[in-house]
Amino acid sequence: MKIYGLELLRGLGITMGRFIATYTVGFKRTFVNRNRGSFRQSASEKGVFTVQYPEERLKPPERFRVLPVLIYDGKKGDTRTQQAERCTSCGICAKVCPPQCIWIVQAKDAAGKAIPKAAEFSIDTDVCMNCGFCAEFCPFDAIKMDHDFELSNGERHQSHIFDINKLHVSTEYYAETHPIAWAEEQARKKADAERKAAAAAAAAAAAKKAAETPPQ
Amino acid sequence: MTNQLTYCFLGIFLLAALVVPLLPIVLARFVAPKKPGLTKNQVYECGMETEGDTWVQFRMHYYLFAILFVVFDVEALFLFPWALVFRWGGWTGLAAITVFVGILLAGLVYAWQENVLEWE
Amino acid sequence: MMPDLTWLMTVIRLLIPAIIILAVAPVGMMYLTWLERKVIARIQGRVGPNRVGPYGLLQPLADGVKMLTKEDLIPRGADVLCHFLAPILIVVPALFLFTVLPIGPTLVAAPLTTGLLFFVAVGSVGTLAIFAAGWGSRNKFALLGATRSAAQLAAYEVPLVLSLAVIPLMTGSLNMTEIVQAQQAKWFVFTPWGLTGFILILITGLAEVNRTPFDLPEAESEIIGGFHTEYSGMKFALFYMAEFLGTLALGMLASVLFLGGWHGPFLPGPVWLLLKTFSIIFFAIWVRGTWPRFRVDHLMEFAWKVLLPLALSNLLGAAFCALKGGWIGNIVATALPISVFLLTTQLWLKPRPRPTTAWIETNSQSN
Repeated sequence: MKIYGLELLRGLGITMGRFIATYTVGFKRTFVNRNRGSFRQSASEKGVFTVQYPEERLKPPERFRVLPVLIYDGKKGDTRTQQAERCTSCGICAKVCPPQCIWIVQAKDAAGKAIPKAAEFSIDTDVCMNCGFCAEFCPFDAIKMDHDFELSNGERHQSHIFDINKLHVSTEYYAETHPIAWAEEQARKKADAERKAAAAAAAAAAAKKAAETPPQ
Repeated sequence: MTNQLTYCFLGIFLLAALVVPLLPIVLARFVAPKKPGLTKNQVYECGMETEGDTWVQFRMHYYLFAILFVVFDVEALFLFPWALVFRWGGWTGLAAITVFVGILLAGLVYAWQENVLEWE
Repeated sequence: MMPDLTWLMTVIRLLIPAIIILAVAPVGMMYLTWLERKVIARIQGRVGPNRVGPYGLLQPLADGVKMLTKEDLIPRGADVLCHFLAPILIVVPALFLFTVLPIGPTLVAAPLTTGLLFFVAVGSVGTLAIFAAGWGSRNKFALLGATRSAAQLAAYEVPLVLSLAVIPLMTGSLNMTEIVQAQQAKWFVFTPWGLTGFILILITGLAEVNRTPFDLPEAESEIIGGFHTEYSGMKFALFYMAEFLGTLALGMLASVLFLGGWHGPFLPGPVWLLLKTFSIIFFAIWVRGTWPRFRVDHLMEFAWKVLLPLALSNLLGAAFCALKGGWIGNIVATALPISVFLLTTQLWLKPRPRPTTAWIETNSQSN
């Protein structure tokens, strides 16, 4: 014989547990660990999972990508002249861009000779599809994907075309938003430099040896 | 309060209670927009045109339930006076009412057996 | 010579409780919607309304303003009078329920000697309004909701009335005030027949006010809005108002009849009554946050096959208990409803032979 109705009571118990947990977990979040990070995303998490967006924000995952930015070596808020640009206006990004939303004008010196620097660099953000190809293909690590997704605007003809001033961000900012990728990049550059130095030393040693041994 | 006064109160309450639903309806008549349209005033049926008349005959089954309802509501009508004067009735009253309930329960069992209570 | 104005004084004296009820009940209902949304939200791990005012406390007002400024639609071909009268006809009886419920020893608007019967009688008028709404709309879904509603309310009316019958049996009175006074020493819920009666009145009461899991008349996933499909704006709000007023009245009735009304230590009586009422309402909201809706066939069968025998057996058990008393009476009053419940659920839910896939396979092989 089966007693009916017991599972209904069990269900009531489950929801009551959930109900109480919103208060206990909420109390802990407010007074014990004031962590407002991405903890609410985990599957085992109890309590209120609502993120009240304008007041509370979750940190986006590092690989999250919205619109490319141009990187310069330096600090936040450097003036245009202080910025050590990485971009050499090689134009690879503009070539690989699937929707063709990148325009580059190469800088010229006083004599009219092209120099490896971008005079103008603009991206039509309405056309950009955030694929990240430009960042993947850039040989100078000059173009990266950003995290800033709050782009809404009252006007779309002028303000949605980002020019070079708007696109430039510092390596300091990039290191903050992408700590893992930044560390990898640093390590890679260091390894490259060491390998180059070792190769140069080896070449120098070989040249020296060749000079010492008399030709036969 | 005397009993007459209580019923007077209920009469006054009826008039006063009518204000509660009527006031917002009348107020809404002044505040709310009024733009009826041919399509807007159609009967809502998830976008379909309604087919045939709505006011048709009901299922027979409702009638059987209505009969059962009348049977048991009248039974309740008899049970309430019995319950009120139960102390005077004693064991005899209980025996009588058990027989009465038993007869009606036999009807319920019959209805159950005949699958009247099923709602397919 | 002064004209005789005593009648006017009497009318004014009678108007005061009426105005108090009519002012407090709708406000209470508005905050019930707030409470419901908050509790459901917490159960589901959300925060609920919190934008309008502190903790969203002004949300009901915002909803009211919104409803007020919505267009009132009347579908073509509708019975205009029926359509117009239904929301009024559903709210007025719901307000009447509060006149007989005592808040304190002398705080009752209408101390009728037949208070309990009056409550039941007035409470069932709502069925008529629901049917008028469904019929008057000339909408198939509305009519479907209305017929379902009529069947459901009729089915649950019977066990409700029968479970209420234990009260006059034990107290010998239908007056609500006297019923509460009879619970001075012991609340009825702590007796075996009282506990069964309390559970029964909770279940049937939820069905009578069309709340989950018995909200088939307005089952939005099957028949759109049920009987109020064709209602908009303020008239729609009135249906909601009636539902929440009904819930409030049900909570008060259950606490008056079984939870000892205003009796309780330390706190003043009306506060106790409100606490008990809101515990019951919280339970109703909790149930809504937990259980799914009944299937329409199960709904009817549950009322007729389980609740009706249960209510009858509880009545007979209570009568036996009142006559015999002592532990024998208590055991009989406990065992009778429990055994009836076990028996009827076994008979009701016993596995029936149904065409399964195996059945189809064997049949197709023989062909």
